[in-house]
Amino acid sequence: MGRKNTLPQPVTTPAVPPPAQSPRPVAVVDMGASAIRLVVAEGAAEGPLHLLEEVSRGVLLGKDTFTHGRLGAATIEATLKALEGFRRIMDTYGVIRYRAVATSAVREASNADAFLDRVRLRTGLEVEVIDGSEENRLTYLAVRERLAQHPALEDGDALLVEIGGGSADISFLRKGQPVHSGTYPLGSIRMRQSLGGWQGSHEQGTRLLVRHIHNVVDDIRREMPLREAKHVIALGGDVRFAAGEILGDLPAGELPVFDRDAFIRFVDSVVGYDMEQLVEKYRLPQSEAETLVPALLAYRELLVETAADRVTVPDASLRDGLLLDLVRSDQPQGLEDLRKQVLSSAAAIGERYRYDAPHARNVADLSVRLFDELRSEHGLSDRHRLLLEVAALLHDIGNYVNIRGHHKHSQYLIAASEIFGLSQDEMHVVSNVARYHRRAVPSKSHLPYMVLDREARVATNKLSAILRLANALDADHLQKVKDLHIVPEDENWVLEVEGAGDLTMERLAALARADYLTEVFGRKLTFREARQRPWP
Amino acid sequence: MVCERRHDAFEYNHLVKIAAIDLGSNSFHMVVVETLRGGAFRVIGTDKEMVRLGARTLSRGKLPASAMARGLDALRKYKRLAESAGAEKILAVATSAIREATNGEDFLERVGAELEIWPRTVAGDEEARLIYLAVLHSVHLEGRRALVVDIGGGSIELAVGGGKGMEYGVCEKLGVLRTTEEFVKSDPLSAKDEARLVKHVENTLGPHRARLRSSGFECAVGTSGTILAVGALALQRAGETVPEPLHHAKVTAEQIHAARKWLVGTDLKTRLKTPGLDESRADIIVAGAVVIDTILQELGVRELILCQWALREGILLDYIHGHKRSLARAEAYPDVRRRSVVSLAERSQWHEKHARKVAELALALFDGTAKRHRLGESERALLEYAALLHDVGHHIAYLNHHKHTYYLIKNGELRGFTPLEVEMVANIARYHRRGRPRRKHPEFGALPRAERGKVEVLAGHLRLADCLDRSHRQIVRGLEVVGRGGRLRVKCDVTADPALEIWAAPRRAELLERALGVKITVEAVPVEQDAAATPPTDDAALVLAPLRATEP
Repeated sequence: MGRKNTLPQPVTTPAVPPPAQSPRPVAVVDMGASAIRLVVAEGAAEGPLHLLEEVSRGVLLGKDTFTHGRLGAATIEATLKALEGFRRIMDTYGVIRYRAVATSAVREASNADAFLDRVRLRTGLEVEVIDGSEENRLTYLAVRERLAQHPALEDGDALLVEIGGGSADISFLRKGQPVHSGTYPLGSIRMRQSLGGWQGSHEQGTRLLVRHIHNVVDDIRREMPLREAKHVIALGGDVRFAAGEILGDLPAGELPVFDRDAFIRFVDSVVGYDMEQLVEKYRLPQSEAETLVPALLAYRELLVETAADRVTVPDASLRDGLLLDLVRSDQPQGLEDLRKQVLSSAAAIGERYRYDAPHARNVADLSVRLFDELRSEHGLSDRHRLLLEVAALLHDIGNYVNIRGHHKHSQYLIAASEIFGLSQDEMHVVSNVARYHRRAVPSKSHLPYMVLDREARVATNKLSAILRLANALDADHLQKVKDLHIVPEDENWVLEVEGAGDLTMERLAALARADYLTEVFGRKLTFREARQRPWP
Repeated sequence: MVCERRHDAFEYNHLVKIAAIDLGSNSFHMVVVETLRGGAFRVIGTDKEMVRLGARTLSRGKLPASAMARGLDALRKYKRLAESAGAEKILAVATSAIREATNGEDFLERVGAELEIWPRTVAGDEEARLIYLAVLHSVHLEGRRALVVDIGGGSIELAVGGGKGMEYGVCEKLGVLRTTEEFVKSDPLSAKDEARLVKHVENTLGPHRARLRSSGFECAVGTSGTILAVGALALQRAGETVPEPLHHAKVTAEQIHAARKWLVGTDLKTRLKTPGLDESRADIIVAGAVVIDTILQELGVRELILCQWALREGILLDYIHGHKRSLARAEAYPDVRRRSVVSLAERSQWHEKHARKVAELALALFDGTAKRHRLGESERALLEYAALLHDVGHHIAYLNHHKHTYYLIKNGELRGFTPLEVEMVANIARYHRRGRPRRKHPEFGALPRAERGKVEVLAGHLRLADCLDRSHRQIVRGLEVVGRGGRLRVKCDVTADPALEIWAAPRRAELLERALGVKITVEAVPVEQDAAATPPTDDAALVLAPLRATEP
């Protein structure tokens, strides 16, 4: 879950003091590839958000990064100026809670750290660099809010596409739940840059772009069932521009939806113009004209791969997702929703590596039961519970690579995977927990373990101790253990197991694997088979 | 112990799952496999129990009740594992401890009655034949005749043969449990005990020596836990990195001799503390090292290839081939390498057409630049395998797929390659995308100097070939390399507009240009007959100034 920053109270009295009853305004800052934006809003956990202020400043961070690999001095200075302005606005509204994020344009710049440090010193803003999966999750939050009860989310499969400057974020939604998501090299600025030195004809340049897009789409098709998508939800400035051109002015509040064929016709016409004609005809700034064609081609090539005959373009953005997340993430419903999304995304990864689903699910259930039973002992959060559940689901996927040393392969595969809603840091914890499901326990000589920070290492120790025991309880892969309880007796713990059939193997395995639990929690464990427990 | 195993939902047609159990004198092993087309199989689970059935049996000639109980427990567990893995058939083979014990049959009766597993006792030379079969299917023998050495708990097996199977097999009672019990009376081993053991091995081998030596083996392969353990220790003592997995690693007789000397000089406590040495073998490895070292000296073996497959895999192969004899024969001389390469590729849902085209073009380039690189058949083969596998990392993730490709090749159980060859294939494939191989990259830096040079050249070929099928549409039908001096022209026969291929070529050729010290231009020559295809581009000169290409 993202950080929530708080600002020190400004020394000067705010010009607009917030009304006493309503919650304080919150703010989000989004540093994208071609602009940085600020939104100030207020709202409670329930009910609509009220936007108080929306500011955007064109800064071409992406152009620097995607061309030279780093941010140039002029761009940095312009960004700092803009952020100073943002900070003043935030102070004016008395904003205390905010979240500022940067995406690929900053993430991939070689001087990102130095840049962010300057931002902090000049403006006091803590900017968080988020990865593709977090971007996907936030955008999805916004879309779900905007399209509540819309058929694209209620029934059938939908493809959620945003062609950004640096890359394309694509999620496949099944009944509104994301089951696949990924980041692909279809960024419009980047595609345009790669054609930079092109000296051939305009048509041929376009053909090259299409070929490249084709290749990538080919690979996307292998990762998600594009053909099954009955709806396409498209986000991003370029497609919003297209919607405006195709549909003209819509009454306020009406959702822009256009036909597949109308869109294809529109793209065909736009593709015919060269840069100067685009600027002239549509009165676009040069920077937007440059990315328009690559982006629209990418949308088109994806669209024709699906079964959708219409495209919905909700006015939803990363910023909306950030705001919702900031206001609502502490709600229980938010966490339960997130859990569902994370687990369905994890299951899709399991399928890709042909995991033993019943075993994985059983181990996940038992892990979570142990986690809950030991709540007062481990002091970990619900977020950790979710990480444990994911690690349990995926602990054996390394078998796909090689059964020998499969725990290490599981670690590798998990660390290389994206799970909708989990950050890279969290994935590293998950990958470590999964790695220790077998014989070896966390050790200072293991590099992937040692790169975790101390807090994450402690969590890894506790979670892997639990996972080892849970995995041993399905040693047979026959899911014989149905439930369990931990009963303190004297100074030790009794593991009461309810199950069906002969549990000899489970008992032996559990006792062998409880060693690490004893080490971490300092309690000895004995095993007891419970007769059918009476209903409470 | 917790068993490593899985069921899975592989979509191969008509999979048959089979379990094979080897009831050895020292340990019981089980392997569960699913059979694949063409008589191959894929391991889906393995387990080992150090039952030590042979402890005291071998000298007293009778299985004690405690050993029987341990054996039955282990088999009970195996039966359950095999069944829950969905194995339709359990094959079990009993070797020397049971074979020789007076009550061995009683034990097998009990196993049959209680568990409905009916182990077959195999005679010594049959055991040798099965082990040889396993070696034949997992080691790249390149048509050489091989001597196979296996050291069990109760007996050792020696087998000599060619590509069709074993021709001559020997089984003698020189297993580690037996020799340890009989000769190892001191710790560290005294010179007297050691000399007695050596004498015993020499005398026992005496009658076979002439026949084995004259049978004309050209390489030697070692199987069994004991030999793998001694081999790993020998490599470690020699300061070499011990490859993981050990399969196909090579150990010299000198290295083994040095390891034996060291083992003989250490006591159990030291051995137990030695990293890399399995605790459960610390007591018996000394006799094992003396036996293997003596055998190698007696037979004049200079180098041993280590092999992880042994009796149980042999049992399986024998069973499968027995039931698909026609299939097995049709496969003539099975190329272990190609088979395992394709199996990894299929597992990773490869773009088969693209991969095969890239392999074909890479080889054509390789042949066309032969005068420049002066590499031979073995490097050519590595290039082909790397080309077939270059995109398998896509299955893990789109981003950094070249690194995932490296990981899968390195860890994906390729058979028939030495660890160094696996490392080379993995490195060649890893550099198909971008970046120059650099010594600061740990995987590349770990290669010996000569191999680093080869990888750079081969990766250069692969990168250009990959680019020539960049559209994944197999537009380039074939190619020819012409030119002299420092300039090479790659003339591609194309069947459609190769714009994407040609566009990216200048930059993708840089690695090869650098590696060979030449300038390369790529040109397209349309194939006339293909009238339906788009004529190739309006640009007369397809040789473009270097462009920044989009990296997929």
